[in-house]
Amino acid sequence: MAIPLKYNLRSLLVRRVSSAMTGGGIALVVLVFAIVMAMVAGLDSAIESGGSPDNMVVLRRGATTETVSGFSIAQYEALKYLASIRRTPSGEPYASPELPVQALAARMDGSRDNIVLRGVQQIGMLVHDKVHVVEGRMFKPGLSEVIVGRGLVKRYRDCTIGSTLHIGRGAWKVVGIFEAGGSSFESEVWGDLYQVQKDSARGLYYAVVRIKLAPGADAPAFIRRIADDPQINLQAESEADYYRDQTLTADRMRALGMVVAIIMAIGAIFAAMNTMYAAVSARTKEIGTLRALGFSPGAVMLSFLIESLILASLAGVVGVILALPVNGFSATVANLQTFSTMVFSFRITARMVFEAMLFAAAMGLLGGWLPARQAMRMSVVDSLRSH
Amino acid sequence: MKYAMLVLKNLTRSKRRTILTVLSIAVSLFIFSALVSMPAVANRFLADSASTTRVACHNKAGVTYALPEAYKQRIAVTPHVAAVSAQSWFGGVYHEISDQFPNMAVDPEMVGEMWPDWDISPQALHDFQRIRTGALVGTETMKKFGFRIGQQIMLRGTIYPFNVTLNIVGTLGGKAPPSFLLFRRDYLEEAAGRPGFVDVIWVKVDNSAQVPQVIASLDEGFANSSAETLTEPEAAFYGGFLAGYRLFFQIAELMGIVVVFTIGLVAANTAAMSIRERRSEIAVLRSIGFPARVILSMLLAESLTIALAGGLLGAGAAYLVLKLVTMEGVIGAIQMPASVLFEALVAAALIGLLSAIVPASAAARRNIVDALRAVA
Repeated sequence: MAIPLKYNLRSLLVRRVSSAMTGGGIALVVLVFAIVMAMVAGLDSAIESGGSPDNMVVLRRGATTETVSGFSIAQYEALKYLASIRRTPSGEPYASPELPVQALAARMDGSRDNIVLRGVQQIGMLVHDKVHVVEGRMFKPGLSEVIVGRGLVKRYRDCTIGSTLHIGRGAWKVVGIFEAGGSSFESEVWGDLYQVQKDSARGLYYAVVRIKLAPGADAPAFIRRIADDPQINLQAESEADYYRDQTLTADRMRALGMVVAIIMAIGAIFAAMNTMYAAVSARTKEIGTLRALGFSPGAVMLSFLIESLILASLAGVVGVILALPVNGFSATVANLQTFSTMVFSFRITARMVFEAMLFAAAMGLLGGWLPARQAMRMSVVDSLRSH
Repeated sequence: MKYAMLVLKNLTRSKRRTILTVLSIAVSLFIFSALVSMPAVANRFLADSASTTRVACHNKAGVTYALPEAYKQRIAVTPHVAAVSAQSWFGGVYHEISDQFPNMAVDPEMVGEMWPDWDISPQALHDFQRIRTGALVGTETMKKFGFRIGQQIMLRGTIYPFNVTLNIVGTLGGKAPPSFLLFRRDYLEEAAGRPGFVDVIWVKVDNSAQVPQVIASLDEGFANSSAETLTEPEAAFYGGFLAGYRLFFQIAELMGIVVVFTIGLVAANTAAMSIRERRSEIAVLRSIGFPARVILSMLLAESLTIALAGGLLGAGAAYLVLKLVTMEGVIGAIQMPASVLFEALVAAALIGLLSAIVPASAAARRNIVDALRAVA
């Protein structure tokens, strides 16, 4: 028969200062774990949410990111009218040639970061179906006008409608602000493709073509065609695959966070062991009494494990609650692969809460195991005799 | 001396508790030291490895904007310029994309004058100037891929649509970033069809007092041209790349502080437990004539010993681990600065004192009669 849970709850309350301190340690570990994971989830989401399921990214062969890609206009012309690319009602293909360049922009505090200045044509707004101008208007072709991503507003100077933004070599008039479903596009400035080419002064070339496939098009066949056609000779992959390979920044952060959280957890486990050992030795007589009443050694061990688990789980809840305010907090970080700065928001997801709770429970179980076993092995007579 | 013995006896009374506490403090201070080292190491790297007379001249507009190669000749004739070397970022990968390390092409003629602090052997310099496919490789990259001098390697182009085949002629040591690989720009230019653009033009100034003047004359000289320049001392140039990662450093520091709080809780809890159990014993000591002050000092000494032992263990382990494990990227090997060791020990001492002071002073001042009477 099991020892009633009420016994454990009351025992925790009797030693409330000690319980609170042990729980506090575990809660702080859970807090760190949750904050790091919220950051990683935010980074992942900012990068991955840039893609649309039926979109393809076409880069120069061997290029790993848009930043390092580049090819001739003739190669673009050769692929533009492939049959598997979707068309507008007027027959224009959903093929958006783009040139994202890294340009220095001044933050509000005057320091300068590399951000992406992306040259696009009007068709780009159709291919990137998550991008919408939410204030002002779209830039006009042929003019030095730009639209800026929502994430840059209030972080960088002159990112408001009507201002003149100095980015790259030129001076651009800001005419609109766009959103892109929280993706890293919101950390970019978009302008006319030809104007951006002129600004970067490296000649007329494109870095990437974003393509929307026609409904039912054969994506693997398209990828083969892009690679094998000698006129094109580029590499295509789905936006989902492209962004899946762009997670270096998040991966590094995740690795660092996991290492820190696990080592901290070991420290917290030592602390929990200390508390539980003290709990066992202070209650030697009680344990003897329980055994004398007929509770089995297994029930005693289980009871102490449950006590440790209750403490750790409560601490886990506190840790998660303390971490909740970071949800939605936005920050900037340089992408390790492209060097460009991106704005992202910390995200706390249901899955993360579940993982944090599991983590807390694991700390409780591991910390409680040895002391609980000691409690189980006590001899009834000796423990009743102790004082 | 007799007090020291008593403190020691008390420490060994519950060996398991002492060991667990020392370990939990050690683990936490290990993390603290490692985290706090990160920004400190980055800053120190910038301060140490950068030369005060080397400046980087690059396009004011941003990293993907280039400078015309012809600027090099104009810079070379500027007063107080001792050496000039143009650099193009190649960004090649050895086998896998995850193997990325910084590799760039530089002009071979003045490598010795430009980077005298990089410990390039005279033989290597000679070979680098003689062999068109020569490469100089930092020690960490040599070790990571098991390269040896004389080996031929191929780097796959990511920015450029071709691969380069290089012969390693020597190593970069001294203050060189240990992950760098340099090869010859004339080789790159030829393969690329002579586009005539470079990313950075490194300038060696003949003495550090002239640096501001040279910077001003270069940037003014190229003002209102098609490619305006931004010239910065080497430390500021690399610092600009690191600035984007300030969030990582902020998070690391925040975690370091949380860790210290956590240890504080753990230590305070243990101290309170161990002192609570000894209340009547302390009362006995008081009643046979030990002053409260002495008892308080003994209890504090006990807690301090535990915390400092944990601190030494943790910070020492962090020092060793950081020395063994090296971080990839521009920074190269991380080594813990002495200041971090000091900070960790101060943190440990504070934890030791603060965690014990409340329960210890309460126990030392407690009314003797009450304490003796209380059932433990």
